[in-house]
Amino acid sequence: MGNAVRRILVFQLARFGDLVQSKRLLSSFAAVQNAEVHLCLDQSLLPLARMLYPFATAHGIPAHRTGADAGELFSVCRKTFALFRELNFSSVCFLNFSPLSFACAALFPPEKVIGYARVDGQDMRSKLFGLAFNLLRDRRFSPVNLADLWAFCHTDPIAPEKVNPIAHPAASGRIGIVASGRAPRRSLSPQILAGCVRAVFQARGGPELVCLGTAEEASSARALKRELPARCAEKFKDLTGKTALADLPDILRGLDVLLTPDTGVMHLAAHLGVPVQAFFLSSAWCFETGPYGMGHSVWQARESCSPCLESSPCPRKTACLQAFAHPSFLARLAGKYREGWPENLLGLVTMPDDVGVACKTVDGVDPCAEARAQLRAGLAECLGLPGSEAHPAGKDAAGFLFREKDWMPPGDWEKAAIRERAF
Amino acid sequence: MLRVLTVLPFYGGSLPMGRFAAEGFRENGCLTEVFEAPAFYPAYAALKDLRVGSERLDRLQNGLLQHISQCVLAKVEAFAPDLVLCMAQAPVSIAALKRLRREGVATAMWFVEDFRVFTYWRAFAPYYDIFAVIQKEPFLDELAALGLENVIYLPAAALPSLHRPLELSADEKKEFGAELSFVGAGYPNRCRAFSHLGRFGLKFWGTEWENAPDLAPFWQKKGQRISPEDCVRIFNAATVNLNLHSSPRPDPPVAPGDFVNPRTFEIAACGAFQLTDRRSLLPELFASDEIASFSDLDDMLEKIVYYKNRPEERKAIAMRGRARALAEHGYAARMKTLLDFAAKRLPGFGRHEEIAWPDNMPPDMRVAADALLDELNLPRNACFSDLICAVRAKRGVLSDVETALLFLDEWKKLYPD
Repeated sequence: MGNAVRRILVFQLARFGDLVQSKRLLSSFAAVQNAEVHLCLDQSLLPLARMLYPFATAHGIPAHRTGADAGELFSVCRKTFALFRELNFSSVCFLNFSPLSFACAALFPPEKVIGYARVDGQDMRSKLFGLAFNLLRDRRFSPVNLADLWAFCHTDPIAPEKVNPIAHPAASGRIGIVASGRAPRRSLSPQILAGCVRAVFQARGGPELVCLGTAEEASSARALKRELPARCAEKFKDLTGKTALADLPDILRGLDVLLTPDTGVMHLAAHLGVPVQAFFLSSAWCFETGPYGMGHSVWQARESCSPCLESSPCPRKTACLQAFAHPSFLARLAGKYREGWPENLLGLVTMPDDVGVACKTVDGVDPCAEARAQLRAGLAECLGLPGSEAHPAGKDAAGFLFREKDWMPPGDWEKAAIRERAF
Repeated sequence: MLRVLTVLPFYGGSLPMGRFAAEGFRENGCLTEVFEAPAFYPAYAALKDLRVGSERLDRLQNGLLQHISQCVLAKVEAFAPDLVLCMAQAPVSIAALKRLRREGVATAMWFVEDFRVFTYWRAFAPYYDIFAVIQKEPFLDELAALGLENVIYLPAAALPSLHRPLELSADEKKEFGAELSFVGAGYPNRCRAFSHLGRFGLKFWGTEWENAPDLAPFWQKKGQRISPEDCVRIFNAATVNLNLHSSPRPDPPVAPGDFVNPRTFEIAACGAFQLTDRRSLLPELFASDEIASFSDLDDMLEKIVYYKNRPEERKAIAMRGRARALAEHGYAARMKTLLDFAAKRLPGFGRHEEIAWPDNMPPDMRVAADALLDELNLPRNACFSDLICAVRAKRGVLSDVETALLFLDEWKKLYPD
């Protein structure tokens, strides 16, 4: 390729957290010799993208529900798409399984497209993303973090430990709290979160508590404060809706730990190397979207129905919440040992391996761990990762990972795309 | 705009007719897509090479046909047509037809076959909303007896954009030219009749002539399928195009019959001269001075001699035949007849949900949309969903305008008002 510029475009049309989770892939593209990385995303996330990825040129389109009218949307998209055609990218990567992605993919020759493509009007997905869909048939066994799955759109992504700094506390005596995320069922109730906060407060000798979030989360913050004992409430500082996005990194850097459900702020903290203690429940599954990097902890609810489907109503009154109120768990948060760990809760830490960053169980028993490890080995083998031959996947795992059509070699468009992206 | 999906058969005479019918729908301003069943045929044909038991082969073949029917249903789901036109022998199962009926998708079969030869219609006809045929009585009575109410006589036709007079090169005249020409399969009656024609400078093209070794010297391209484009060259290059309808029996060589074959209309539209056997339904389609005909073998031989040496007379008849074909017998006219019939007989036909253009479209969007409508041969009053449907049907890379419109469509579906 000599000194020719490799112009690469990544479409990440999802939300805050997904944008941060694209870091391993984007950093890998940035490491390509003579690479010029471009990023297309929802226009509301442009400031965040520029902050996270200063090496990339960010292009905003109205991909989320906004006040934009149809004419405005058309005009912005047309202008952006015309620019994309002029830029003549050597590779274009689509990360989201979304009709918006497939529509945008129609703009590019399929042989330049990675991930989700549109070939002569037909929506297609790459072999890698096809395997990911196979895995989604039973999410209990999900073997790979989304950040790593996306990273393998690059043939040789950077090592997982190089993505985010190892997390360490700021020694500031300040704890961050995210009271709720976008989907209420994926967050702890104010009463249960208050118990967790109180335990951590006790373990850390009464630190300052800083509640973070947008104005939409302000009511959750107020509800949490009402549930806290007076000694905690006195040290509770509610910043929900009061901080600009640009100020958030500095606030996060000043924390000893962030208590949070599965949110964009959680991923941002991991990006900055701020230790995370995350509460995962209902449809949130740390094996898929856990915090990325080393030095983070996750408390994962594990009911017979976990992980559930976010769009389906819960017939069990969010029973998975109750694990977070268990006395042994709260004792653990408070830095004490108490017999009788709840059966429906896992305590995990994040660790890198050949594939990426995985959540390893340290508290509780995960009956799916062995099958998950087998699937991870199978995926590693499929990706041709070093060392994978030493841990071959068993036949059950292989049978789950591959479906009939996976016997087929890649289609013409994908073979061409693989050739094009020999980074 | 009406949306029509035409389902082609694997192969055979109704295959080109299906393609022409789709073109006829387009000429009527319909958004048209075609289900390319021939692309699936190699898989079906491969089953016959398995050399397995006949029962197993039956099950495999029926299973594959069911699967292809599922593909048709998937296409219907994606394209949301107002009408699914199945050509004779289209691989659409009864189960699929039942499902389309349950879901309120109108279906029509254009049965361009002889009902006495292809008798499977009895099993399938009741599952179509419209059954279009190329024969009249007693077929119409038989369909009525089966309980079918929406039956329409819809004879074959020509596609003027393809079936037209051509200026042929010297090489083409050499390859395709003949004093007496024929294109078609070697049915027994034709084999018998053609044994009398060697002296007239006969050349014929088509399949299934292996059983007539005496005719081998006159057989061109030895069984290769002749493309519709080459058929037009042959029609144009002939002094006399013989058009003898088929019969499964050798005698009489000129058998009585009712329906008029597609070749009749195609040759006429080419402005070429043809000599055809006298079919009972022919007079209402062409007058006696618009087409030359014969009643039996002797008459055929006499007329060949007569017309061979009368170029002016041939030309005059051919021109009148072409004028009639263009005026009345194009696929566009036939499909209009079918659509009008559907509109009259099927309650709610064509009333699909239309997505309107966004309110307060900015001028740049209106200009871009109009230019695209023109490029896609859509009327300026086409609704937003019609344009999107046409953009979706495009192959290859889309433009910035097309992609932005497609994006807008998906965005509106994701975030309804």
